[in-house]
Amino acid sequence: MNEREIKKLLKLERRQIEKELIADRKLRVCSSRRKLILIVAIILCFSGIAFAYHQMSVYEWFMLESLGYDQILEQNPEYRLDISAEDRNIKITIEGLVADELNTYIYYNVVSPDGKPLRIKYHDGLDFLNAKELYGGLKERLVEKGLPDDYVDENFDNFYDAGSSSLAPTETASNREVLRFEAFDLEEGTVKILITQLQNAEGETINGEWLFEAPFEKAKAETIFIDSGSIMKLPYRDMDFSIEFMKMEMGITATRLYYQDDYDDRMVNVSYGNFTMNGQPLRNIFLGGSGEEVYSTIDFFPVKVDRIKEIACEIDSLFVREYVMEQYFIDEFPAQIEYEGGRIRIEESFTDRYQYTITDLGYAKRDFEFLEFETYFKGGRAIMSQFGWEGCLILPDGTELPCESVIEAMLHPEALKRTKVYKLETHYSDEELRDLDYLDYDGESAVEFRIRREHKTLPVHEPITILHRRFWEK
Amino acid sequence: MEKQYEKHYKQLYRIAYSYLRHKQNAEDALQAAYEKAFENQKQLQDPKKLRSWLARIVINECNQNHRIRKRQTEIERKVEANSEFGVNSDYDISIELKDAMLLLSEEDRNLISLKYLLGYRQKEIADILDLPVGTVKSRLSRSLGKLREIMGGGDNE
Repeated sequence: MNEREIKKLLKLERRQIEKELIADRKLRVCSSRRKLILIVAIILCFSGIAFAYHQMSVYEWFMLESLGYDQILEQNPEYRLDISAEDRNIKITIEGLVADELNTYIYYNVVSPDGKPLRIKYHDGLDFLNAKELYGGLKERLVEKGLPDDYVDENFDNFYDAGSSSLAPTETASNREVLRFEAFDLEEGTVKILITQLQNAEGETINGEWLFEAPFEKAKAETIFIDSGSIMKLPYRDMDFSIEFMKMEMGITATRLYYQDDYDDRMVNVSYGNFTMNGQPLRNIFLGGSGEEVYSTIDFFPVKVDRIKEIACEIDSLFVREYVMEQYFIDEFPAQIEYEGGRIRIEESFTDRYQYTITDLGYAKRDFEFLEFETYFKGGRAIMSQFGWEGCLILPDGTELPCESVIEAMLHPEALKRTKVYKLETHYSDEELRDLDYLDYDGESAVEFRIRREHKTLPVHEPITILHRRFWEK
Repeated sequence: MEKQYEKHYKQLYRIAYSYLRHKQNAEDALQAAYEKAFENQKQLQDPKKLRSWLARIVINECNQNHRIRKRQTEIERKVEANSEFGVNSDYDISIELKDAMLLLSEEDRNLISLKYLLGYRQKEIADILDLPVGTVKSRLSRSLGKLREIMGGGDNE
């Protein structure tokens, strides 16, 4: 058993612990629910109340709307603000601030004197002056959930970089955007927004000062506990796959699905798609996602539904990595190597650095879309490699030293001893011709090429039922 | 102290449970740790390090429990050695991992549990175990190597 296998076992063990902890929590909830049910039953018995069961048609209660960002504001007019500030003849208007337990969206437009497009440079040029008040308990909450102390910095900056999306122009404003931030910790209050930098289409920064005080009241999100799972074989090497869906949170800004999947992620990446609720498609929000949960999340545009009958999705594709290890020692360039019935040509040139051009002459016939190359040099250089999120340092004798990340592998004393400038020497080839540029080789030309992995995408369309309720179930 | 302990209860329970994998034992370890923390609260000089300090006490309690279990495991292993059943299923592999963890030194087990089972970062592990970050980094790799040895490793693919 090697280190990666042990890490995999530890990962499985970690998930098992998570599952047991969740089961433990559920047990406690169930036990208190049972007590409540018992009390209600006793009250009903004694009061002699009889009630008739009313069976509803499946379609009577069904209503679903998928809304775009603009529609979110349109559907929630109480969150419209239309407050403006002007500096340097540039007027910024905050059209609305929609806040719930999942997200905070700020809608704005900019009107410049010459009518040219401008946008808020929100990474550097936007601050919540009262961030500590807005996100006050957030840090504590995250740490309680097991995230490290430094996950949130002093100024909550990582919650400012949540993303932006352009909006369609209106009659009065052509430069419109929505910015997404993490949900506020505060239930209601005022956000003090200071904008100091705008950016034009050429990427130039315009400095100024636009100050806003935007009131908000956070809307509640409804939580639907799902607690269902699927176990199946993936259509690749009969690989085991399991997925567990925990809950769905439905707010006015988004619908968020929490899940946890388990498969051999060294070999495949599973991609999910075609999410539906009661047979209607759910549309993904690409600005979404929770930064604070231990589970994976997918965000959809908000939906309104009186009763959820069914939620489903499918595994739409697998990105497959197949480990191969073909070594080729090159005496002189250009060289041609045989690989899987096709030839790969490797050429070398030198100006101020060595450059290698790899031409996969058999590309058109290959089953795999990508090949991953590594290049080795004389002088026993260490190779940095990556497995999932973790890094690995491979010494010339083949010893693998696991590291936190590729960066750490690069800075490992063993790597420093062998290399002057560090570059991850792994390259994908997704086309016939690939140029590899090297920054440092101690004046040495490459002596060995390895084809380390093959990659391909497999279309799958394997359906998964997330939730299926019978009509009498709540 | 009681209030602080309650505040960190969830996280401490998570640590205790990851170590002991038994609800009642985890709760017992937390209770014992709470009593020790209460008795020794004057030892905590920097209140900012309360969480790490509490985590360390809980880990010590769990290790105490481990020492007892380790002795039991060694006896069970001797019994199993005479058994005709193999250890091929995933379930058995999982048992094997747990047993192998028990055979690690406390330091190695703490490092692996905090890093791989509880997902702490190196800086946090350093705070909890009161070690320099550099030491945590170097020892983690060594501890994983020991686990590999115990589990019949050596093969690096």
